[in-house]
Amino acid sequence: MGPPGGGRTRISQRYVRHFNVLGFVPFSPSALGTIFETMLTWSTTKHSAAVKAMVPRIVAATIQLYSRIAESLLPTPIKTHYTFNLRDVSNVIVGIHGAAPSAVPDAGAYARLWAHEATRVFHDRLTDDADRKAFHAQLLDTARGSLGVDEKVLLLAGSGVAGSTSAPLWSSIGGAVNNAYSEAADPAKIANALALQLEDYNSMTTRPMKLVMCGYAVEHVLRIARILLQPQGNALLVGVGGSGRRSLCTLAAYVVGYKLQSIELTRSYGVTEWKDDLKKLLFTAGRDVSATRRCCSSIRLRCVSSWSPHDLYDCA
Amino acid sequence: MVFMLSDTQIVKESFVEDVNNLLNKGDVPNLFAPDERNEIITSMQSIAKKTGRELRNNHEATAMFTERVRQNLHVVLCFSPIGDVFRTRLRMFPSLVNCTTINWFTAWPDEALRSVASFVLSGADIPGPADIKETIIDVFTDMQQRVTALSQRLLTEMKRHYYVTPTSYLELLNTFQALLGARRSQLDGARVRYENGISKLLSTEEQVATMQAELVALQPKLAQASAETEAMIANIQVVSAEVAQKAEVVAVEEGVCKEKASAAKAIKDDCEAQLAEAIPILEAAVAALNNLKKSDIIEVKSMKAPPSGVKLTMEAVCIMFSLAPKKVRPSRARTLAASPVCKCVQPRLAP
Repeated sequence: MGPPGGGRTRISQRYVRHFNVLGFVPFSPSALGTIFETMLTWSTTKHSAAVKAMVPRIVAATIQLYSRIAESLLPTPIKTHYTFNLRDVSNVIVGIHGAAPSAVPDAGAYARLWAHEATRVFHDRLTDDADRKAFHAQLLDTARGSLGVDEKVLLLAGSGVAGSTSAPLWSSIGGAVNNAYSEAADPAKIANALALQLEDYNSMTTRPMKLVMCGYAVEHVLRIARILLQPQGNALLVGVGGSGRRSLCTLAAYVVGYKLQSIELTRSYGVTEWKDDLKKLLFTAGRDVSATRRCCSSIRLRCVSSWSPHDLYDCA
Repeated sequence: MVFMLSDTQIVKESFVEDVNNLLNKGDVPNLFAPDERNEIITSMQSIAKKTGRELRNNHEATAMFTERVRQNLHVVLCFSPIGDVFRTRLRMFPSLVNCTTINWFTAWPDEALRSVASFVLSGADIPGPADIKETIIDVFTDMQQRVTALSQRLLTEMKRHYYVTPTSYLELLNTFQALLGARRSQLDGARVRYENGISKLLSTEEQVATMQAELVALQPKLAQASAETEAMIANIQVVSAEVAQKAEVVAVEEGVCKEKASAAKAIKDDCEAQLAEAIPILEAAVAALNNLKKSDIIEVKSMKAPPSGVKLTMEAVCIMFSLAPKKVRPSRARTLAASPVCKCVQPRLAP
């Protein structure tokens, strides 16, 4: 059982007395460090020695950043979704794990990758500029303290106002290293690549989208594409109507080569139709797996499906 | 594959619960009927055979299906942060937050507003100086940002929400385009009307010029015609003097005729007066005649010694019919009726 709070109700004492109660305290930072270090060391066997040496510090920094953010950015009625858990830590580690050795030549690039992944996981859900500034302060502080790098290495020029950081994005599209998850130094190049993909999509679909590939759109497409390429990567896109959630997601799914499925609402759409749609969805995903990805996609899947850190917490 | 679900598609809240289970476990409880579950198990067994994996029981087959779903299915939820619904859903279904990476779509930044506006305006043909488009884009961006700031102020001061979304920005751009088109077509219409008027004026001027030339050409003919007319008038004057003389003669003759006519009329009047006197007498006589009956005649006939009045009358009748009266004896008077006098009178006396 989870601890009371959130959606969970308190268990009455009269019920609890029939059991021997065993409390699970959160993992201690050192235990977490051991777990994630093992994983990351395993994934960096082909990396350079400088990167290998960074692994313990990266893990320590991630855990430190997580605990700081969980303490400072607390959920409030308007910010219900400010709940952080160990899945977020593992998301950061999985993100770092995804970069090819050639994309991370030195310790500076590795630190930037870490900053990018942490930004994606913790920062992208923040709703206002004050929180974003607080996050960036924490990020810099942690980087200085645990990694021993400063903002010059991290290339964090601005304070990241209005949901955008000036730090380079990491992406499989238009990156420096061909088709691998790598640092994209030139935003215009990504925008061009995405515009081409959009043209491709529009020529194939019956519902063409008129999108402007401005920096905002590019950044969100890359964020969604990053989530989709992660194992068990699920996204929750929050925004007012017309902000481009659906069309950018459609484009991102097209770019990474996934088939997009949605439900068609009709007047009589009800629970029965929903269940049928769900069944179809699960059958496609679980059985007809080969049909779920376009065969001609130019983007390689990162081979991380062999292990999943999520399994650790499902039983916890 | 990607499953995209937006909050407008959530008809029943139970959908969210299913999505919550899907996110957390990769499975939805009680979704599949027993036959469908068997189908899953058989298909998993055939896949396992291909990949060289061994499935010991049905439970492992189902677990393999769930595992594959979790690996292949990416759920993307598009929610709107407006209202209580979002908050309630997150609180009721923690997996929405725990098992997803949240991406918050902020209000469009300056750069996005600008590039969208320039994209929309790129198709529009805007005349004028080269930097006018930039200025228009500046105005759009400024409007959107200031209205957003004002709606924030409305919220803090009046506690009322006013949402300025990207949709309203696109609406603004579309309205601008539509207005631009409408204005342009209006101006074009006015210009076409003006040009038409000008061309009409020009053609009228040309027509007037040709008409004037025609008039000038006609002038000598006109002079000739008026000379002819004058000659004709002189001629007519001569003729009319002759006519006047003849008229005098006629007038004299007319006076003579009139006198004769009046004399004739006097005679006629006299005759008519005398006739008027005679007519009542005639009418009285006719009336008296009408009063006569056959029996009266018979009575007269039967008279042996008619009184003097009757005698006189009969004598007058004889004179009128120019018959010589015969003196008869009283005894023969009876035969009077057979006399020619009586025979003459009789038919006239018949009623």
